[in-house]
Amino acid sequence: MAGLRCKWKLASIGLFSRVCEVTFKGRGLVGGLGEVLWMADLARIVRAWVILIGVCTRGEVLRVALLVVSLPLTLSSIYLVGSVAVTQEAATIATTTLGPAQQRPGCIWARIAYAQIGGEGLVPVYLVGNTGDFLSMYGCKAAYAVGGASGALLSVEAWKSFAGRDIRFSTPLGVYSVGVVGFVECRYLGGSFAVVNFTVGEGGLRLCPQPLTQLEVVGDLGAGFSRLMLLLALLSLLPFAVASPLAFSRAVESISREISVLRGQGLGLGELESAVFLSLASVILVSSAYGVAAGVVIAHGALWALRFFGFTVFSRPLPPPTVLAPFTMHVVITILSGFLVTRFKVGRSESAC
Amino acid sequence: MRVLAEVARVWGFRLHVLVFLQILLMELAVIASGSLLFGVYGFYDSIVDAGSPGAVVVTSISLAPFASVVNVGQLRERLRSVPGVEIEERVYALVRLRNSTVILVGLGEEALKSVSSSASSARQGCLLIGEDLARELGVREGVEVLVYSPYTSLPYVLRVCGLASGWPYSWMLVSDLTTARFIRGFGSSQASVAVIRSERGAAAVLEALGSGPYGKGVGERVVLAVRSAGGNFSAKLYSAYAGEALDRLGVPVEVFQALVVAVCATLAVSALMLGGFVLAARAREFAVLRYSGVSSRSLKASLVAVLLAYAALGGVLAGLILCYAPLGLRLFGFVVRPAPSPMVLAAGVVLVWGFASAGVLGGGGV
Repeated sequence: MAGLRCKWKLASIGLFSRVCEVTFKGRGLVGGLGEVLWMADLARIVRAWVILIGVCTRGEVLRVALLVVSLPLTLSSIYLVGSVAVTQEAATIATTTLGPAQQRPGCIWARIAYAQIGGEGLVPVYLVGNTGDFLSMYGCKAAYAVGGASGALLSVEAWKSFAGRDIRFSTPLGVYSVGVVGFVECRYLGGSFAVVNFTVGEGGLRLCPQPLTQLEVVGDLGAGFSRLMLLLALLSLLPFAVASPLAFSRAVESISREISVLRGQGLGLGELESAVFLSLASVILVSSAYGVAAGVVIAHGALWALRFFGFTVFSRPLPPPTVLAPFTMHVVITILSGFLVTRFKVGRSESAC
Repeated sequence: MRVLAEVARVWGFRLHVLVFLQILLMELAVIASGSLLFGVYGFYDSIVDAGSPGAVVVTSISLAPFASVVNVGQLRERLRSVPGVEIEERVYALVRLRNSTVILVGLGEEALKSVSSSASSARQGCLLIGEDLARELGVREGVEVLVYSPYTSLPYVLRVCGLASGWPYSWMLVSDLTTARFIRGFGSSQASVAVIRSERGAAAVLEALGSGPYGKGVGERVVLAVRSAGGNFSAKLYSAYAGEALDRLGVPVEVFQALVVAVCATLAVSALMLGGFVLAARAREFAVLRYSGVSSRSLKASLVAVLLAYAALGGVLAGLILCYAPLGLRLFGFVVRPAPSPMVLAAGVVLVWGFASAGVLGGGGV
């Protein structure tokens, strides 16, 4: 019964092979005998490849490819799309909520001391050459409550607790005590601190504006989860890559009858190996595309479900080319194992015959 | 036993090695995936190391300890009726140091002494840097470092006064409570987390905080998320910090756990191929055994037993590799290692063995 089925398959592409032979003969008149023979070999391989693809897509080979190629690629696609989604969400949240905190140009020299105010804990004191530069750098507005600008300015938080008190701090140059003259309201700064006009001199630190600290922290969070997803994607490919030679060995065994029929039809061993390898590679490539597509669809389904349950998800991610390396690696490994299995199995079945 | 020995003999050395290596790699992938996912699940609990069993970790309803704000004064007031209560305040913050985001924890004096033997460790304006973190960032003892706070957006110059050792502080910055409070932008009665211990156990603390019926055995890790607004005080109990964070996102903990099991099971499906391969590779030898009077059932049982032995051995080796290999994932400077728990290890072994056995039992020809 199986033999009859195979003969029918061979007959069904008879027209195709005849067209190939006529074409090659036509070319042979021009190109010489060697080319004719080479093209005829190619035609036989193509014919066998087409037959085997038909066999592969209906039997064990497809099942194996779906299990060993599609399933892990689906899983890793979900991880990678998730990774991109996390990164994009972090970036979107950061730019929409923290976007106004644009980095201002310029740095200033400062000395930082800590002051004990009223015996209620430490407050950082920023000793700067020009208070105006500091305020401008951090988007602060000063309100002078007492006298001129020749004293300490407190942040609003510190002002609530320490207004009217003196600030006492020490530096390597000596111990200083200054009066509080007002408070500052800052766009990019919070918490308790004081700013004092001071000749910084040697030992000062270069203070550069860091209003983007929050952006950087959110970015780091996104990058951390992205790395996790990438690692999981690689781990999900590993066991299937390991199992692929075994799986394809079983798959080639499942089409051994068709291979024998093709051999009986006069196909050479090399041609047969090429045809089997080409058909396996074709099935692997199609299964890979199917696996990646399924993963992307499932991941987007999950994102859609999140939106359905009220989560605001902005991103519509696809696996970017930069993270496609695991996919490529897996496909290359499976194709390579397909090649090795073909070399080993087809040759062995021939010697067994 | 005789059949088992025969089966082991007909496999041959090469097949034994091949099958063992395949099982080892499959188990490595399954166990590492499960451990990493559970490692991320337990990330906050690793950071907030509550120490002795029976301690109650009080947080506000938040996504992370870095975002939690607890009013310690109010807690003290509510716990006044419970005898022998000890409240340990901790302040957790994320800071930027040398272009990396790292975790800073502010501890009380007693806790600081246990983290570092340095005499100056409790000084204000000083930092202790975790040994591993110091090595990673190239920071030495005695230098001044510029630390940026995302909470206040202010830069702080702090002197590195010593090294912190021991889990989990070797991957963090440690300071006194006052320093951590001004970096976090907290007032003097605020903390990120309060770890409460009582002579009368966790149940008495939870009762005083009105967390409702306490269904878990005392001695487990207990995380209590409190909400306090306008004089109202409510509390909700969790068995892990991740439970609280997932709850905030509207995802039940069970969904996450089921997802991890599903991921591991999907990876273990690859072992199905292994069982089928063993049958195909030694089909002739097994047929000879069958002709010599060995029943199909005992043959399959022997194959399953050999696979179990390899799965168990592979599990132990995979566990050792994951424990001792320098593998890890950095989250805020903190390293999450895929060192497996006994539960994950056992699950990995059972899953790989189960699918490999299913491949044997489902395969024909024996």
